[in-house]
Amino acid sequence: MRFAEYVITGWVLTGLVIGGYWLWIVRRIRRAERSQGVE
Amino acid sequence: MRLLKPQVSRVLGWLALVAVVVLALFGLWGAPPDAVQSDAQRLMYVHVPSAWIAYLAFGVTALGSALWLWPRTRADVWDRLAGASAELGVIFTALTLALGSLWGRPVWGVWWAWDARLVTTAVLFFLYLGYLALRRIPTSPESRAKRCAIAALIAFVDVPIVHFSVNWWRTLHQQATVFNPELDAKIHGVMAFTLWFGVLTFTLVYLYLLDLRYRLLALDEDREERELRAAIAERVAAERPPTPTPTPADRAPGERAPAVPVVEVAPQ
Repeated sequence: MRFAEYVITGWVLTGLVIGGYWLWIVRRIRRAERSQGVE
Repeated sequence: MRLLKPQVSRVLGWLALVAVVVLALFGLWGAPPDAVQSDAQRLMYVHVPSAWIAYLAFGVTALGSALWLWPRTRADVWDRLAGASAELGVIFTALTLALGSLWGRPVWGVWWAWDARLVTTAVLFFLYLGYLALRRIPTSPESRAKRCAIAALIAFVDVPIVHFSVNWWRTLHQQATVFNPELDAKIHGVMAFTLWFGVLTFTLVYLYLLDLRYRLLALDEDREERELRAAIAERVAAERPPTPTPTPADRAPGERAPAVPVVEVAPQ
């Protein structure tokens, strides 16, 4: 594949951004639900 | 408080995940390399859908803001939807800029150019970054929703400017491939399928993340309200004056003194 470094970086970056954002939201939701349950 | 039912959200999440895998297979292997740009063009399958989601997200923010401002439809749900969608829009705009830069380097020879499309997109990113900052300024929920709704509608003016910038000015960025003025998509076969599938995949991802972000926003608002109530109750309790001990002068004429408890002392 030509320009593989750009293509792979772009696709990996897309996956990391979307996956990282999803993980951030899910962890915060779990934390918020746990604190709600404790009170 | 949620936008979608838990089962629907779960199915949407799995569908989005499967679609991402299929898109990666087509985008990286299934679709042929471009005749001019070779494999660098494979970035189009994530760059264009990212830009589409940014438009969609800011469109939803504008719609939610307008519905909140309209007295007949005013409800917290619209403000929350606008806020959740704007955050997704900022993330996908940042991704669009980063992917465009990665695509521009091998094709144009530069990471960045002061081109109309690039500059208007960067302006869009900073406008909505400001919108998100505005949402974090501490004030009453009503006041925050009002000022944010007005800001979102003003910021949305930049979206058509971004889209039509390639037609209005001579730019380095190529003109619209699909939504061109003739509405004649100049792309065929597996490439067209992969691009459309990318748009569908990113739309599924957007809807799934929007539901989650909305839920988190609702939980955060709920927590803030509970904390505020607790703080007010604590302050009220602290400021309440202590009950004074009655002295003989406070007693009404004829009123007997309260009985003093008798304490028996044991003999030594």
